[in-house]
Amino acid sequence: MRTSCAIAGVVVAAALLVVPQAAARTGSPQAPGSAPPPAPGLSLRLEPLPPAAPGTSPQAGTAEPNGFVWDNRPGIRYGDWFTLDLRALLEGDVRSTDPDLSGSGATFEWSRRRIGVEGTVTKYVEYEIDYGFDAAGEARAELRDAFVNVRPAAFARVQGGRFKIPFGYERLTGPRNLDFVYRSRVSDALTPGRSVGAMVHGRAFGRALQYGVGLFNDDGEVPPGLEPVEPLPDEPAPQEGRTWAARATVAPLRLTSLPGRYNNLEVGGAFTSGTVPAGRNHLQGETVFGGTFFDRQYYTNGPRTRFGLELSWAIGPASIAAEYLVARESREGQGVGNEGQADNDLPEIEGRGWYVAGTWVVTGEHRDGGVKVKRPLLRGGFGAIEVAARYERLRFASAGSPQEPPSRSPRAATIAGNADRAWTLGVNWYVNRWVKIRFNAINERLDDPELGPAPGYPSLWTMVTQFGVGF
Amino acid sequence: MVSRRCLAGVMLVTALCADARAAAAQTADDLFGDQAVQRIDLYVNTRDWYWLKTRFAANDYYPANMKWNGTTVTNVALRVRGTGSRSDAKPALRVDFNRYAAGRTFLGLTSMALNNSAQDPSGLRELLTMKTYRALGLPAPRMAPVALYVNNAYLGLYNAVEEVDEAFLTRAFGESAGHLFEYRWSDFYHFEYLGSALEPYAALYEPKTRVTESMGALYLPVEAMIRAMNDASDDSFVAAVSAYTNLPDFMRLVAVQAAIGEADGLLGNWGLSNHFLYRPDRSSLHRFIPWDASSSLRALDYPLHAGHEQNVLMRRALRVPALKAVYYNTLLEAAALFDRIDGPGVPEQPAPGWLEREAARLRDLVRPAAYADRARPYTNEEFEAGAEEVLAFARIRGAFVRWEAARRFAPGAGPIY
Repeated sequence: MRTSCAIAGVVVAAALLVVPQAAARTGSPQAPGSAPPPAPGLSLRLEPLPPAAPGTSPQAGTAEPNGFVWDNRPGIRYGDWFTLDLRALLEGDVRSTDPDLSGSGATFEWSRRRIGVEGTVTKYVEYEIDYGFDAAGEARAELRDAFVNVRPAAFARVQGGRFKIPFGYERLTGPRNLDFVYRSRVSDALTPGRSVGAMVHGRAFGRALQYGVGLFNDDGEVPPGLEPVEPLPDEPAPQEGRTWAARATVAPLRLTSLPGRYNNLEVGGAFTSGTVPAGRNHLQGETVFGGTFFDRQYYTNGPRTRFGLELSWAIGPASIAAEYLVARESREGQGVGNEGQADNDLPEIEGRGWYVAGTWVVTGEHRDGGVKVKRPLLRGGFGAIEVAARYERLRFASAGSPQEPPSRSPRAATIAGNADRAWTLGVNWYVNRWVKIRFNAINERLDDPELGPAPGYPSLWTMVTQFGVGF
Repeated sequence: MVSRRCLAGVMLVTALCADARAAAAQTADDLFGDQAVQRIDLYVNTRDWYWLKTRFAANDYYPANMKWNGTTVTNVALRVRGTGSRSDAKPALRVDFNRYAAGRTFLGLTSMALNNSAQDPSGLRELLTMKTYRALGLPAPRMAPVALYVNNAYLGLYNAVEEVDEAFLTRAFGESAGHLFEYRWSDFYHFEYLGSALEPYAALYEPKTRVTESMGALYLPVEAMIRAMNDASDDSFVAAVSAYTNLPDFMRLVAVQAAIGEADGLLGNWGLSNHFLYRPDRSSLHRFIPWDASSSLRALDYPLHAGHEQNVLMRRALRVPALKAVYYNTLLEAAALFDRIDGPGVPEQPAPGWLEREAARLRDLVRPAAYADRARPYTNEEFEAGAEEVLAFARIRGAFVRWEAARRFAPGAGPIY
């Protein structure tokens, strides 16, 4: 099965390697500067779609054909009234670990397999639907994004449906634009991901300020599958509360006279507040290696809040990004009690982490707006090569001063926390605009290896090569 | 931030040192001291306590804090224990000290049991039986009567029992690196050979230590022991079986069980029952450890030869004069202990012996806690009647044992039909 899937992936990749040549022969080159790769997450959605915003697109003055088109991807156009673009992404990973607990050596598995559409209806409404698998091991394909964004004005837009809660720079970055095979542990563990809700968002001061404030049905898809406690007789079933979230970024250099490719320094902050039902529902820490280093075994109940700071800057061929995230989860009434009180409150569980990442495109392409390959493979070049490095730390523990020796009791006042420190070194090969191959070497070190996936091994290595095809 | 962390660290170390000092002032002997009813408080989340009692047939663990004698042990694990004694109103409990923190102990213990005496209205039988074993030098769990409180409400009279685990093994045998098995009763069994396949032995003896080892490592010596019991010729019986168990120790244990009227022990009415088997590290010798003695001290004339014919090991061992002598002498030793009088007796009034004195003392000690126990399935009258039955047994059992032992097991005594 894996072999046949791998062959299928190779065939698709080969086809997409050939397509640029065919496109060149049929005279449909990519227009200079057209349809830049989507900028990270929220900022993408805050920008008007190029074809639908007269005057903002380099193509605005050209005559767009109606009907079926294939530019960067297949689509349908009817002037400014309706556009639809087909999106697809197929990624397969070859990975190996040390220690090799399964004994199976290097393995191949499909990770993201997604298909979707996006487009506009008049210049005031955009939409997006995305469906598929987001990671290896998922049992079935799911609807990822399905939302409508109404944009009467740049500074006030309303988005509704299922989409990512506005929290976390890397979480809001689409998979095609990630610098590494995997998001950071911090981002994976502490950001909420998608939910159903509505958000007001917009930008001002020439995109120097961007904001989003939303209300969502629940606290997102991370961690998946809540396990509320079984209610006592005559007790209502515990319910998950709504979550509200806010995020704002500022790009101060946009107010200066620096050239556009250097002025995109963004700093921002975000906050979420939700309510999680009683149960073993706290955030968990997972290693890249596989398995958890902090699993969901402690009872929580009540508010879950997150706080995040972020920085990103693309400077010519280089870029840096950093985030600092904190998540706190209440444990109201989850204690065992004492002489004076039954079911006392316990100290919050705190997940805290940060990462710093940097990239450099060796072949010289600029990073702003995504790497646009100057000399694709088989079109007179080799593609673009980028090196990347990231260091991160994620720690879970009881908030505040320890009250007792740490314990794995689900109602411990001082939980047995753990931390993961990881180095990632990577090489990204942008073969052409559709094909991207990423290699990452990841070393993780756990504070308490006994709570990790490989007890007795403090150092865990993961090597992964990801083949990605998408448009 | 750094100074806050330092302060937190100092506070934790100080708290741990204080905890250690408090614990150092007390020992497990204090916890299992039966000179007083020990008060133990358990603090359990009300939701957990509800489900523990509702699902009393399951072995699910629930977190709790335990307080004894001013010391609070945080993050212990509770589960319902027992077979016939399981109850929702008054669940028998196992308390694990190390389930949520590997290597953690309390007073050197990794766990203990809180027995609900569901099958003994007096609550005295197991206390006195284990006390008798220990008084005669046999390895046996320590016990103490306990007034158990859960979430500040009195639950009932329990008996705290030392679990047979690594900590017990270290205390009893000086090491705990060997293989410990708990006997699982499923049917009448008397050490018959079950064949060379190991599964039948695995069904009888559940490993409690080194549980991940192979079937061979766990059970080949057990199979060999039982094969030797059955297949060795009369001439080679002692040598063959002695390679796998200490026969005099076995004879002493079953003799004391006979003397105390243990009807549910190694030679009880239901075949083999209620014991652990321990094989020390790098040894093939198995030791028998008694457990759960709520059926003893009942029939005043409980026969000293009960189960001898049915049990393969006992039947063959009694044919060996030296082993029979061990059995006989141990019976007399037990009888002497039962009737031992401290100080001069009163003329015309026989002084109570050790067993009767201990029975009366413990009855008086636990009576208030028993009367206040609203969760037990017995009335106060049944408590008194049960205690009186124990006292009567204690009063005359020594004489009966001496008389019966002389008839059946004294050198030169013939068979009785």
